[in-house]
Amino acid sequence: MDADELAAKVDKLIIEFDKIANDPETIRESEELHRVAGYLSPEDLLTRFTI
Amino acid sequence: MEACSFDQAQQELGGSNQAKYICKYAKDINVNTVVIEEKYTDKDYLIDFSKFHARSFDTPSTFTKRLHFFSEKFSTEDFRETLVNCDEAYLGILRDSYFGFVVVKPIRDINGNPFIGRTILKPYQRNINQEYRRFIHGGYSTSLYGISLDINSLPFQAQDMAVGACATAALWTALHPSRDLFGIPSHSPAELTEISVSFPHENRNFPSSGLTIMQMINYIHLIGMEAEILNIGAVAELNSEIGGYMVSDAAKAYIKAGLPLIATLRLKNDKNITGYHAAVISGYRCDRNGHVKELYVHDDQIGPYSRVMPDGNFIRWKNEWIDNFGYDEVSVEKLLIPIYPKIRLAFGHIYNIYLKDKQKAISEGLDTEIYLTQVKDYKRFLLNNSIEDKETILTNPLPRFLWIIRTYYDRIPTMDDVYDGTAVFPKKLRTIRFLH
Repeated sequence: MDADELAAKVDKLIIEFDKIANDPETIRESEELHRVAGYLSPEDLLTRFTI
Repeated sequence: MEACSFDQAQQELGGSNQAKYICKYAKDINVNTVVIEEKYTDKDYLIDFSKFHARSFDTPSTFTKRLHFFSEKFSTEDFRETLVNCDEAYLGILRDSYFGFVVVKPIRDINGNPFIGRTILKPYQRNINQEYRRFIHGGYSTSLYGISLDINSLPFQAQDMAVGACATAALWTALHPSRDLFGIPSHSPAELTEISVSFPHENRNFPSSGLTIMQMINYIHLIGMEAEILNIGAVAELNSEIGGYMVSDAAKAYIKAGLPLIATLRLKNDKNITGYHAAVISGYRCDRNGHVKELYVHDDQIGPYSRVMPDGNFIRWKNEWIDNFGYDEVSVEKLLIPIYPKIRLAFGHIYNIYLKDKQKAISEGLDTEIYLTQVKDYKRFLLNNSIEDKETILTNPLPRFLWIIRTYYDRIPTMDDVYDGTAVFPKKLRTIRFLH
């Protein structure tokens, strides 16, 4: 890939990344993933590490 | 005082699993000579002694033994002469060849082997062919009979079940970097267990019966930090592909910021007996494309920087637990990352954006990575690179903590998306474009 081609791809990605950051569906999915990843059940909290 | 070859010094370590691992590791990193410091006062052990062992009928000594590792070959006589004559040239050689130390406690495990105490050993070499390793490490200075010796490492110690099990050892190791980074207090294993169990549970506190996640979080909160949780098992149930990538991506993201991750592990053997264990992810090895090929773990039952290979992905581990300790399955259930409270934007909150950016970048023949950083480190990096609007970017304020989504072409950075690490929701501050 030459320098001009790379610059064009970066231009394109800057626009695409902005779209992703502001896309309502991405934001909804991010909230969902955050909720699932950060959740600990009562059983989880009481798991004892003994080994 | 005695200086001897590494082979002669091995018996001082005893025959525990950790001692055997340290012997193998020391050979891997090319340790040739060991100086044995017969009477060393180790602060962590002394506190544990005063809190527990001092009131035993069979009271152990207050002194530990400390073994100092060097790559340079020398004899007791050579070392004695260097000390007496203060030979600066030779002291320089000793400093350059110093690989760290192992404290051997005067208390023994159920098999009669001495416990391995505070251990600070040099990590593996960072660059290997076209691959590279990154480790959590801080600078530690030590004095051997007046000789100042420095080592960059992350401390390790094996559990002394009297005062703490694996979770205590994992917290003790994982919180070391935050002592320097964020000024948190330092506690010995006994103190750490004592503070953790202020959240009540049904078992006795000492001898320790292990800690629950709740008690680990309790300790982290009580020293003024926050606990970031990544429930890997739950994410994998939601989306197995994302769960598979999350362990290595999170390890890279936090280790680059100097923050170790505590992995809670489920161990299963062929009799379907399940046990729960905690260990600290302290480093990783990447191939030339930046893909994680190996994790390094401070596991109190194995040793420092022990290697972990993926079993498909890094949710399932292949390491000593399977090769030597008779387990069939080692899986990561959760990652627990002690963080400074001002790091408010969680990895789990920004990860979906990163994955979507990555997908786009790959479709254009580029790649991405995500990491957490402090503004001072990031601006230092920018200062040393060619970027658009450099003066404006360097002179404008940024939050103390930043999440960076970096896009690469052939391992050369092309652009950074900078997110506010102190925000509640993902908030892009700006895009920085590199000039080539």
